[in-house]
Amino acid sequence: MTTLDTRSNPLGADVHGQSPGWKKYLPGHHWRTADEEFDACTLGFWLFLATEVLLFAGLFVGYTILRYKFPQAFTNGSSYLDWRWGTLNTVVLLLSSYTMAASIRAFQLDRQKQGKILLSATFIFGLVFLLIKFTFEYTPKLSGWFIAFDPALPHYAALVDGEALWGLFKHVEGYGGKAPGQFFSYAFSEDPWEPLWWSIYYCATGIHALHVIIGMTLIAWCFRRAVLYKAYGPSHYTMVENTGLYWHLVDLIWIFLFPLLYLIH
Amino acid sequence: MSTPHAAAPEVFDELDPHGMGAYTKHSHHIVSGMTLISILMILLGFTAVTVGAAQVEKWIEASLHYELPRWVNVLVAMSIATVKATLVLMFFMLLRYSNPINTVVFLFCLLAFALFLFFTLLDLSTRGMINPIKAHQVEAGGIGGIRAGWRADAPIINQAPVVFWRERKIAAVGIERYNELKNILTHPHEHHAAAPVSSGNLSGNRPGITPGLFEAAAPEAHDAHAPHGSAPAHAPAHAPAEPAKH
Repeated sequence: MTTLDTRSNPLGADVHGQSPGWKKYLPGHHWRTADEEFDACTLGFWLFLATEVLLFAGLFVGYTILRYKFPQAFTNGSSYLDWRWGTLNTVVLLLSSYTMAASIRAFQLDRQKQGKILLSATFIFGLVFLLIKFTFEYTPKLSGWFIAFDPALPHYAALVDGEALWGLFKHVEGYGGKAPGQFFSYAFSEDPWEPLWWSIYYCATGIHALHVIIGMTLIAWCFRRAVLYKAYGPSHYTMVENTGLYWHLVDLIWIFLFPLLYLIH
Repeated sequence: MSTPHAAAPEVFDELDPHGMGAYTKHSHHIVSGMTLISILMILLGFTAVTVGAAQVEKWIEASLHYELPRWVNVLVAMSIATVKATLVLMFFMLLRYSNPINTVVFLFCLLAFALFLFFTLLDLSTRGMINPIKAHQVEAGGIGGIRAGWRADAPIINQAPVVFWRERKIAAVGIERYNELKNILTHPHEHHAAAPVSSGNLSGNRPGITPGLFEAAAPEAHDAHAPHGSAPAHAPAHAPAEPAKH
């Protein structure tokens, strides 16, 4: 078991003339030790995560009520989703969780370069998640516009009735309009309550995607601090640790959303 | 339990300026790289299991012509998700190694969620015990009375939007073209048997709703154009008889 001891990392000399961020870090004067500050920060962040869980709890309970009341609307609605995109996005998020955890480990071991590479990888995985979500799921379902290389497009080849941006996007007649609540305008529903399914789907995945964006912003901020002044190291890595907790929570929510939205029948 | 008095440090420690290390200093655990990789592999494996389980359920339903109860799907999916979530919490979010108070905070949060869910389900599942009508939804007509679109000047439609937009499309392109479009657009990925009747119709007493409004996929009047002898794509196989009382 590797452990850290702040005493073994005394104040060091500047490296390459840069400010040795984490080595110069001192806890706030109102803390007795750096560890006490770390514990308090982490506890505070867990309290915040609890409120986040309760935010999503409202969505999950809403899902429960509506699925209990309108099971057929949920079965029909879910059949419009492609479980393969959902699975791919789950894998992407799990990989990003791994790179996040590994980057914290790298900073704990003062492997600055590895830590920064892993942080960037986490950011890129988050971006891939959002791109898949918006390009292949949200945009076609809301508007009927497919990107030209969408693997689902050949199935609808007979219904293509327009294109934009020199053929990069193609419009499929009647596909769009699967929107939440009053924005709904899809003409081929088989259940009168399907707009409720779309409301739950967009609320849940939309708020989740918002959290992905916030998490990516935090990761980018961590990365900037690591690049500019080596902010994280064995005796001080609180921010990257808490950013990691936030990112894992986003993954955690998706672990439950994925089967509830994509794998029902 | 006695607390040791803080010993005067031999060397001044900037991170422990008051020499309080004996009270609050501890070592931070670093998870081994092998553990992280193993957890990732297990999580990916469980993702495959949960996708596979859903496929198996579909296969059972298709080959045995038997509709599994809904709780099977929910129970299997949620059990696997809970195992995955526990792994993430313990090894990625470090609850296994960090201050136990963090785990307490999270468990209390889950307790609040469990209470929320429990009383909701208690309400939902016992509504029919006193008045059977209340076992089902009581309001009628889908989510009616909304605007036909997002613009402020869009007309208010006094109808379920599903019906409104279907009627509009049929009026625009005709019933033959509508059915053509529907055949291509509906359920492209799986060809499972759609329930013949909407859940709206499976409900109990729905005062005020037009009888038979949601019985077939398309309104009856338009089906007159369909060739003789061919049943509509989603014809109600065992549509319940409409109650005579109004």
